[in-house]
Amino acid sequence: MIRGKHVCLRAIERRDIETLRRWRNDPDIGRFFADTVPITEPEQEAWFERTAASLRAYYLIVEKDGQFVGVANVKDINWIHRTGSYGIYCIPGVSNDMLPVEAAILFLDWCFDCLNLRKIYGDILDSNTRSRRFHTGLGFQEEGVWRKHVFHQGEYHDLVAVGVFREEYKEAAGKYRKFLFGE
Amino acid sequence: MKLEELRAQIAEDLKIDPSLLTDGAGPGTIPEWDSMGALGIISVLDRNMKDGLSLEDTEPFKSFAAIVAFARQKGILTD
Repeated sequence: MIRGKHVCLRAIERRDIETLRRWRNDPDIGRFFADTVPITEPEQEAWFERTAASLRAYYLIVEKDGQFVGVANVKDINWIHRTGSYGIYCIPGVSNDMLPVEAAILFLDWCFDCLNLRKIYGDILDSNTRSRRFHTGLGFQEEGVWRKHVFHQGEYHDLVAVGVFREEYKEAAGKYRKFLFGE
Repeated sequence: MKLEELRAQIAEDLKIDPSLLTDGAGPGTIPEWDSMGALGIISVLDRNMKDGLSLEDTEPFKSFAAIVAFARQKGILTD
């Protein structure tokens, strides 16, 4: 369990996976994801089994006051290059709070300081300006664009590749620690 | 600091036009006022306070009017 001021992160359990599946299949939430094919219960079960056994992917649940409000993950970890692909999602209603920033900082601290990763990367739909702003604030650089890379809601979209090195992240996140953790 | 100066600084941080920061403006009306925007607003207030904000002061604001009320209470605003 990783504790912050307002949220804590804990390991994913089997009991969480149906909520995750429901979120993933919700069109209002799915519009932020590049891949929007609905997921069935057996597919979700199989995904959980693979993930639980993997040393290349970790999913942590974000909780606020004991309620499941989000999920953060790092996957495709390459232990030679010390890189990992990352994602975070918090349910609507908390996303205007500072909670997502706190959860992301707790999670990225864990990735860099405990997993000893060197670089975290990901990709964001070009139209998801909120996520792009969020990650820029955490020190991520926009490293490139996959042009017309994904078919999403009836049209092809660019996918923005983002990445951050440990030092860049620590500098950017350092600006917020005082307000989030009193450090 | 004057109210218009505070409005300008927050607008600059949110990368929006200052005229959008009406009393009722908040996270529900300004897309840029998201979680990162909320932290930016707190950073602006912190920069303008002699001793800086304490952790207890760092709950997110629900509207620009709430920011103004807070800024007056803390002596940031002089008008």
